[in-house]
Amino acid sequence: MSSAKPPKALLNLQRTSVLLADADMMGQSIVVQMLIGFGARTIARCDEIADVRRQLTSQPYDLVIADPASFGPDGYDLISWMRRDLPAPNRHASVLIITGHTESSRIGQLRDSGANFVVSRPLSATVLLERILWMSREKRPYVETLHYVGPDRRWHDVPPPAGTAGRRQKDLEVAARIAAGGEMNQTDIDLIMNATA
Amino acid sequence: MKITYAKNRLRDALDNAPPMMASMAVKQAEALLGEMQHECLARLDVLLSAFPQGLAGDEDVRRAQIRELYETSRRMIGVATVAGIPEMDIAARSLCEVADALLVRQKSDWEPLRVHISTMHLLRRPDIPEPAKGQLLVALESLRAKIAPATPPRQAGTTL
Repeated sequence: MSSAKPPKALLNLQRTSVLLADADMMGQSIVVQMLIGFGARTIARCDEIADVRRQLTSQPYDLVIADPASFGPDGYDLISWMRRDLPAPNRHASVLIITGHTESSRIGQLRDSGANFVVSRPLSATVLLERILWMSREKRPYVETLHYVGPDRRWHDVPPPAGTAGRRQKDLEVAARIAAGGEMNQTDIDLIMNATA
Repeated sequence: MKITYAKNRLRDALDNAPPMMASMAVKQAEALLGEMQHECLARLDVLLSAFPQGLAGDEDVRRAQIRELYETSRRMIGVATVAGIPEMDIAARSLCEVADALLVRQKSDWEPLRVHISTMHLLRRPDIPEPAKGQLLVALESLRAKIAPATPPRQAGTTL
């Protein structure tokens, strides 16, 4: 599988407990191979939604990788259930959603599920590694509102991962300017102050 | 709104592990994926053979068939790239878009689905020239744009 240039960083999942939730065994195996390549030794594989819930209520996980669509309609509630109903630490575990395709009627539900990141298949090893690295560096707080529970989706402290678009028009522009040693202007400050208010 | 600053346990787990260069991790992962190529090809063939030859006459049954076809195609995405046929992933995604658009509009046209399935069978052939693959994908994209214009194709690994 061809891939982009891997990041110059260190990563080893040897001490990371991973829960992989995917009803499709082949999809599961592909991700497992990548995780093993990244050094993972503790990977709980679940292909039934009841098993996923059982695992999450019984032991702590550092990283949850899930393909909700693979479980059918019930799968879309999985992450929001995790964020709303589970106690810590799994309530705040890093969650990466991987999806082959999302029905148009489900995109909003998936986006608002409370995952740290959503990526689409096919997933290269480089992309998976970059997303895991990015989630490990996250400092976003978790917010709880009536309609959303999960990582704060306002990108004001941490720019979105390289190569991905931010959610606001100024995200990349501000991040790039600061990374280049530039100073924030008043608009950037207003943007951040408004976001944190 | 309640705000919680939770410990990033993933960061702690990575910090406590012996360091490994990301390039090495990727190399190992790609080598392991390479070992899955034949398994993925076999899986792809099973999924390809699961596509229907046509749709039934009854409207409810047709819609159920399109739903099943959508699921089959969705399962292909990601498998095909590991199998060494990344073009099939693009075709499978396109088929998902078309099937989803038909279901949303409560339509059950067979023709766009048939074209996708036929194209996917062609892409599976080992003797198909590279330029022909590109031409087939261009044709599929044109068809997809007519049926599902509001859903432009996304690159792999991108955010939703």
